[in-house]
Amino acid sequence: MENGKKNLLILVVFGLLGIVFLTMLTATFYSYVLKQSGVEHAENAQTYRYHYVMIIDDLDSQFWKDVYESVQKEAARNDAYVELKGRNQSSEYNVVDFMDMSIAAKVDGILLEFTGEPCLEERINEATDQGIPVVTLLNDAPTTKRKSYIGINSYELGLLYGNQILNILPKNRSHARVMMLLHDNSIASSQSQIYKQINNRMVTSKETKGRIKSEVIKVPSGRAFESEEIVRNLFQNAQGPPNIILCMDEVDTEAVYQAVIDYNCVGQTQVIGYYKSKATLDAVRKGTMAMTLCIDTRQMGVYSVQALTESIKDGRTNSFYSVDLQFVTKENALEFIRNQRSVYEK
Amino acid sequence: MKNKWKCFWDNLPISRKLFLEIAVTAVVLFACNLFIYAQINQMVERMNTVYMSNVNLNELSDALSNVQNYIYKYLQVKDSESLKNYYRSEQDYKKLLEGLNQSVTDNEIQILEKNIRNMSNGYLRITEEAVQSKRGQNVEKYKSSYESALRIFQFINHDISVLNSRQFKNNSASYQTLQAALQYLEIISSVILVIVMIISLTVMIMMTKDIVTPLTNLAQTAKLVGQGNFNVKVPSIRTGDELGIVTATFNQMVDSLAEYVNKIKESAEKEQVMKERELLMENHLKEAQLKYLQSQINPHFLFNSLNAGVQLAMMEDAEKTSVFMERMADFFRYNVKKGLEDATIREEVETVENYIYILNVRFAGDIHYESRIDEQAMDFSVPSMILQPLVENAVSHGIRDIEWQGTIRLTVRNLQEIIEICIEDNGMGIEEEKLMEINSGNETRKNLNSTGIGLTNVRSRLSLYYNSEHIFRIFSEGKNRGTRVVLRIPKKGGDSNVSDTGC
Repeated sequence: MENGKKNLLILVVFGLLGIVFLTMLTATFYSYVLKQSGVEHAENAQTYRYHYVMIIDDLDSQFWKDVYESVQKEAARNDAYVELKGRNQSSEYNVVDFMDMSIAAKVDGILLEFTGEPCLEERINEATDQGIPVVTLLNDAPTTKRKSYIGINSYELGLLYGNQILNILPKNRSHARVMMLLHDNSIASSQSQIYKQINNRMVTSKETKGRIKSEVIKVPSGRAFESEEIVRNLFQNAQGPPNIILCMDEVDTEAVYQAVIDYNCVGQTQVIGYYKSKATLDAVRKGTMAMTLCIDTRQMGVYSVQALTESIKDGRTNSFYSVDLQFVTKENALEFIRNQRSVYEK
Repeated sequence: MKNKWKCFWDNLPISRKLFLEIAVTAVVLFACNLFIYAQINQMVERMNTVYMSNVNLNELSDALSNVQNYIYKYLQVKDSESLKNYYRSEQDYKKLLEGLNQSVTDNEIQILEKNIRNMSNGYLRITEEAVQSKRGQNVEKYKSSYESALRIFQFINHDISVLNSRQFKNNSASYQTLQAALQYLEIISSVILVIVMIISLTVMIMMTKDIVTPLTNLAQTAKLVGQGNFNVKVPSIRTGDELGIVTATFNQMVDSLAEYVNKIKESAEKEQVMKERELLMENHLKEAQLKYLQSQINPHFLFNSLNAGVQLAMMEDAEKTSVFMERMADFFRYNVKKGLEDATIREEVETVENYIYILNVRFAGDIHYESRIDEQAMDFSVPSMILQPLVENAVSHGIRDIEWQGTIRLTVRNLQEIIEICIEDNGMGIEEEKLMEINSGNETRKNLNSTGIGLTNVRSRLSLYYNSEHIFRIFSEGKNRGTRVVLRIPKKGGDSNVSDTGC
């Protein structure tokens, strides 16, 4: 009889434990489900003081994604949240519309990739008039009331490009063509500045004077597959492909590189790429692409948020933050990749 | 605590126990169901609210469209109806806007809400400007205001639709997870229910077994007891409920029954023994009487005749003859009268004296008789006719054929618990072998005659009467050295004893 009672007790205890376990499991699972279902997500959201908007032209660009990541981190440190606005394939708005929206939404600050579109400068001024500081990224709009510009010095970059081109050009060649693909519409834009400087360098240098011809093609933005078409045209041209193609955009870089391979022009046509997509870095490492230009996106993000925060808090800020840049060539590609990894791991 | 609870449980009546068992099981099952129901209910409610945000957004969108439609209509025709409608829809829209988030968070949906709210405020301000301008007939202003309002209206609509689609996406995901969770909940609930059911059933079965097992035991034991086996017992239960009481009482009852049966058996045996003894005594008495009667022929006739002889002797003035005849008559009367009754020692002694007198007359005073009697012992009762046969025995076997003067001595002494009667002669004595034979009770009766009630008869009656073998002893120191018979009789008042029942 005692034994039976013992068994009974064990059964009851185990049963109760089982029920408690199942209940806990259910409760845990349930809270997990609620979290997953997003019903509670809003309650867990972090609250910030400032609301910034970052407006860029192309949402799919890896470069801008990296910049946004850095901006977000820095903004969180400065009690601000940054909303990303930009064109994607289904979008019907352009940068000017996004500016309008941001102004109407009374955000606390705007980070703008200045694309030189008509009316954009007006919008920058309008925003500044309404007390919303605007910071331009990568391309400057020096004639507007923007608070600051974060990017590269076009003049300097032009010179650097020129030097690099001189380095990779065969010394004894009598005739060479350098082609630059521009994405900018305005004449006074940064990219035009760069081109001018490159041209200057080519023309003024004794070694290249008279034998190097530099050309430019403007890739209009807003239309699909435009750059691809233009690049293919270059290679099918009766003149043949240029000796050096300089890209100012990730998509262009990949399109040109692909075309170089397709038309079997490796070695004959040198490509100076833009930014550090995986394909680009691989190509540079293998030597099939001459070099690529990398801009320090982390620094750009930090500076842009700093500029906005300063102009809100202090009313003024530096009008220009220079961002580090680096040409990645076959020689330093491996080291660069390693550095990138360690930066990400941090 | 545990003991306290156990004690409490043990002392509960069975009906209360059963009720508690069922009640606890029911409550547990009910609680379990309630828990599961609450969870499922919560889940279903969540499911219901999932798409609520989309519904709200649609309302918002409709309200915004109303505002836009009425302002357009008003600006177009400038009628008061449209203006009224515009204000009303503006109020509605403002109210709806208050539900939107306005803080800066890292949640995209909330940021969108904030944008919509801010843009809407700006939009409403511009529409208000447009209305004022229209009233003030400022054509240029109201047109431009309307243009910018329209533009912002498009932005707002765009943001609302983006928010809507994002929420829908979120909600759909939520819905799916909730549905999956609901299925999981169903399974878990069933498992919990099954576990609870199994436990409840087992507990009930075991508890009921606790109650039923003693009953079964009791029934089996009762059957055995009914068949006459008193050596079985129900395993004792320490509970204080009815079962405990019934079991304890049953065991007690079986014990008492066994005890009673034993007592009855014992007393039946005793009665049997007593009856046998009585029968034996009666037999011996009857035998003595028979022998006496046989030897006395017709005592009544005899002592009637003797009485006639007494009278005759008196008439003839023969005094000695008269006394002799009277003693003879007394002697025989006593024999006849006391045949079945107890006698006092006094009566016995008198009979002995009568007998000696008669013998002395018969044998011309050959026998010397001495008696030393303790008067206090004279009224105790003894079985009748025990002394005379002993004296007769002493005369006929002890002193009849001796050469010297025969003496018979009777002593009655009143000791503390017994009366010691001693009959002594100085006759022939008994040889050691014969003495042992007599004392062991194997005496042959061939030489017994005279009054006929022999030694053996006396001894048997005494031992039957007092239920003891040590009443009667014969001593002799050898041939020609006399014999001594000693009776150690337990004291008994004047009352008659069991032997009376024999009559």
